[in-house]
Amino acid sequence: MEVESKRFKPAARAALLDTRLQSALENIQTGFPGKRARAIDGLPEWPEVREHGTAIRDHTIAHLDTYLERFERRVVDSGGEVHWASDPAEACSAVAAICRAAGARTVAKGKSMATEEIGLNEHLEGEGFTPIETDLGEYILQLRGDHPSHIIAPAIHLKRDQIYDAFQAHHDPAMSSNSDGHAELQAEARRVLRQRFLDADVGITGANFCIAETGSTVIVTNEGNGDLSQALPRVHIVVAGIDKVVPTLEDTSTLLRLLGRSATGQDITVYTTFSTGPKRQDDLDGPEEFHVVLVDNGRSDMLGGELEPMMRCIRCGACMNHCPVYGSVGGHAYGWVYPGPMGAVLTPQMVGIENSGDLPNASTFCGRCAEVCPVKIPLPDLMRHWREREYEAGYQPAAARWGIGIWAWIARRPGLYHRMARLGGRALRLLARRRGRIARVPLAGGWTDTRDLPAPSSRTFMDQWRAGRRLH
Amino acid sequence: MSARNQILGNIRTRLGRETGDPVPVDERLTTHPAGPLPGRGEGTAEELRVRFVEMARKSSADVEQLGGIEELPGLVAEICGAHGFDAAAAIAPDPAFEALRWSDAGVAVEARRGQPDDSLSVGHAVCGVAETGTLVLASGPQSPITLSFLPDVHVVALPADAIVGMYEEAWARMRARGDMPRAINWITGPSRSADIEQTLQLGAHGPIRLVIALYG
Repeated sequence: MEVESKRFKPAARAALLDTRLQSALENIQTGFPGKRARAIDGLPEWPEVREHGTAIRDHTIAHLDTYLERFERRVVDSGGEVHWASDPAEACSAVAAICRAAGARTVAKGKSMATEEIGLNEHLEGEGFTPIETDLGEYILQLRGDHPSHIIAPAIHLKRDQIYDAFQAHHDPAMSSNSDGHAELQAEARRVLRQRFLDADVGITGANFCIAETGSTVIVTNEGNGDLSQALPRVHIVVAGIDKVVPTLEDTSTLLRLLGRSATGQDITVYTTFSTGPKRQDDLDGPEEFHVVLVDNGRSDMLGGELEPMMRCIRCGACMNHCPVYGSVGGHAYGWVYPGPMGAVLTPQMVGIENSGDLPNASTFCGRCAEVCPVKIPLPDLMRHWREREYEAGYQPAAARWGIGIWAWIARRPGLYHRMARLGGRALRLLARRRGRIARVPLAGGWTDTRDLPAPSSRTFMDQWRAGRRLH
Repeated sequence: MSARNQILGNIRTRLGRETGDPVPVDERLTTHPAGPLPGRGEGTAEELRVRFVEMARKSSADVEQLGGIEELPGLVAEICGAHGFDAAAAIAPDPAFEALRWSDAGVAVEARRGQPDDSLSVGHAVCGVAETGTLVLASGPQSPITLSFLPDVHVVALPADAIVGMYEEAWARMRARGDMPRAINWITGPSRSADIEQTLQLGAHGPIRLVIALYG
């Protein structure tokens, strides 16, 4: 997927004016936060579980190299194979090579953000394979040539009529339900995709966790598509970031208690599947080959620095579900795979701050993302980190750099600052006349185009303070 | 340099050390300590049974209480009738299932893996976890996982004495059985999706109905 994060501002403006998108986004604001809050109320031990989950992630990160080695050994012990990939190109080649060796034509895919990150579908199509997304949301997007706008609810930006149109355009009329009801659309997708599963030679899934103790990969789903993707095809490939490793089954259980509640407000998702190696002797189903592709793609560079806490992320999406900016502009405005606060931290790491400088700036720093994060990632601090890197590297527009530079120069001279504040206040009061509000301020059109600026008080705060009006 | 060495090397460089430190890692892997345990997973056997049923129903599963496993064929016949299915089921190839008197209940059974056009399947769980009403199924020659995902209705037999309080106890049972099977499936309710306008619909790719046959 092309990085379009540089177009954040025009994309956000267009999103705000898109009434259909705005109506779709209401579903997030009204749904997810309430469900999450109710699920957490049902687990009184939540603070302790959250604390422990955070400690598990920190411990694993501190020993990431050894845990990855242990995981690899256990995968091999159970008859599987591990492939390491430093970047998207290596990861895509590894997957394509396995598909070629398997003589594959059709590839059934479970939902996986890591495969979005590495642009796997485009690569496989270029190599002559046919990847089929099987998660309902991802499937709809694939038909539309669209991309996910949310990490756990990929098609959340779409309304029912758009889904109906996509099915009408792509499905055999014999399969069509000719109805745009929720149940009928879902049943139609089930009918069409059932055959696709049976046709597939290779199944690809992501992983929510990779367990070092057992060499198992874990996926959590509600639909069951991830399970059909690994039960029916002959070969199962798991694509996972190196940050997904977790020490033990017990540690995984703690993190699972955090994941479902934070993501969809479910105590646990319908299907939580622990896959360990290929089918065993005498098993009646399951894949003959089991491969894990471990992808770095900039993750290891986050270790040992300010961004290290981002390695704790379990991809629940709570930060975006509670973000006022995400809730207003949706995921596509962010211009790449990961949207919302976690995306504003990860995207600059993976595609460069020079290509994504607006993302860490697209935050009011209200702090809700950090408050709801199940593994206590200080997301506003990490966004501030990127703002500083962007400033240091000189990627901000000249006007912004000059403005901030001038302000900083004045702010360091208190006498001058106070005189200017007094002058500025008087000038604004003149502009406001008797209305008490200012409709237009030179150089501040960005503010006054859409709302009035209230006139400031007749005396500055500092003057009032000096005069002894300390009311509180 | 291979990608493996490059990745592991970069991790060590960034973490400021030249080699890994296997001692704390192997200690954790060997002792696998549990984290904070939820109080809702504690209680007497009867309390846990009640909680399991309550939580399973909350996830939209149906729970049927049987006196003994010999009542399973009758239950399956009833479910087939209610759905208008032919009285037929794909059952897990487990001698305990095959020995049941299916023909007396008028149900034609085949002991095999799941097939794409199966209407109803019967499988068995290793245990049930009260904390969330979750079934734990383990793959194996007597428990093909396609039975859990392909049919429209999935019936899972669970002995009442196999209900545990929390996930950690389920792992203790799995460890006691030996090596990890190829797949362990935690199943909590029937398949669903909310991908269309965040409106929950049951029966996405997997079963539209999950019936837990609790016996004993």
